[in-house]
Amino acid sequence: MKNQLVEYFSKISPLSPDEATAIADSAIIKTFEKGTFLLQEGQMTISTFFVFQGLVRQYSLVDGEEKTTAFFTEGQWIISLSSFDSPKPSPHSWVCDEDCVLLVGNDAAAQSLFKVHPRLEFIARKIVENTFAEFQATVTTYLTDTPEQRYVRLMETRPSLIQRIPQYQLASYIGVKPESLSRIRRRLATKP
Amino acid sequence: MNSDLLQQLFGDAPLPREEMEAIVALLDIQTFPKGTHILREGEISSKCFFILKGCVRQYLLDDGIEKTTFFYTESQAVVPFDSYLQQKPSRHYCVCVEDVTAVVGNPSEEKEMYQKFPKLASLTRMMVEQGFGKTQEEFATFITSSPEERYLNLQTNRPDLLQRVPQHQIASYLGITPESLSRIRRRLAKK
Repeated sequence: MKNQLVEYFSKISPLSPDEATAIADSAIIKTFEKGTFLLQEGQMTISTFFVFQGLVRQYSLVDGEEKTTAFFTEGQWIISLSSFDSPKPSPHSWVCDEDCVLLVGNDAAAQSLFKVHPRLEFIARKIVENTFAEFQATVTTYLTDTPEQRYVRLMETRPSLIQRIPQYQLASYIGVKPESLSRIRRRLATKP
Repeated sequence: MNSDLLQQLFGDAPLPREEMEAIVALLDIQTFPKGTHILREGEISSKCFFILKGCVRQYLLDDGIEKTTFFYTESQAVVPFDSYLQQKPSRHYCVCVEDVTAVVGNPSEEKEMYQKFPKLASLTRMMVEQGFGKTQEEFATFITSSPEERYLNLQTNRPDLLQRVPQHQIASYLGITPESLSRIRRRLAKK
C-alpha cells in the first residue's frame, strides 16, 4: 500500500528518495469494516482519506431521507474542507459501504512534513486541485444533464460502481426515485 | 502601497509587510471591460485570475442553450481547473458581467514566485483548499435543496449577486426557468 502511495505521488511530480521515504514513514493506513462511519453529519472535523480499497458513500439527511451525494472508490481522495477556515458542522456523513483500506490524513503531520520537504506541499496542492477539477466536472453535470444522461455517463466513466451499490442509492445519487431509475434502465435496454 | 489591496490579497496571513509588497510589485494586474471573454469553450487556458473587483460568469452551451454554472466575485479565484491544470480544452466560457480588475497568473510565473517566496506556496494551498471546501458545501446544499431553498440560500450567502446579475442568469444558475424564478419571488414576497 505504501509503495502504491509513493507511486501515486511521484506521478504528480518525481520524488527524491528522501521525500519518498518521508511519505512512506508518515502514512497511516487503516482498515475499516463495512458500516463504519468516518464522519457523521454535524461533526466538526477536518478529515482526509485516500481509498486504497473499498467504497465510501457520502450522504446527507433531507427530511429524514438519505440523499447520496458521492461515492468514493479506489484511487480517489475524500477531502472535507468545509470546516477549514472556521469550524462548521459537516453537511454530510461518510460511511464505508464495503470493508475499506484507507490512508488516514492528519493535518498536523502533513504540516510538519511540509516544513521539512516543501515540495510535498506543492504536490499536496496539486492533489487538491485535481480532486477539485473532478468535482467541478461532477457539479457541472448536475446543471446540464438529465438524470438519464447522468446515468449513462456513470456507466461510461465508473461502470464498476453500478455493480457495487444498491439501486436505490444509485437513484438518489443521480437525483431520481428508484422507480424512475428502473424506467431509465428499461428504456436504455430497449434502445438499439 | 494600498493597504486595502494587501488586505484583500493576503487577509491576515502571517507574512511580513515587505514580503507582501514585494509580491504585489510582481503581480500582473489587468482590467477587462464588461463583456470580455477571459475563457472560451475549446480553449486550453494557461491563465488563472484572482478577482479584485467585478463579477465573472461561468457558463457552458448545452444544446445551444447557455447554462450558468458559477458566478465569481471579489476575492474569488477563477481557475478553470480542467483546462489550466489538465491542459484539456475547456468546456466552459467565462465572461465579465461587469468591468473586472484581476490579478492574472500562469503556471510558469507561479513556479517562479514560489521559488522566490516559499511561504506563498502554503498560502495558495490553503486558498485552494478553502475554495474547494466552499464549493463542496455549496454543492451539498444545491443537491439537497428545492429551487426555492436554493434561491433563499443565495439571498443569504451572496445577496449582492441578486442585484448584480440579470434574473435569467440567476434562474439558470439555480437550475430553473426564468418563469419559475418569478413565481418563487412572488410567492416569497407574499409570505
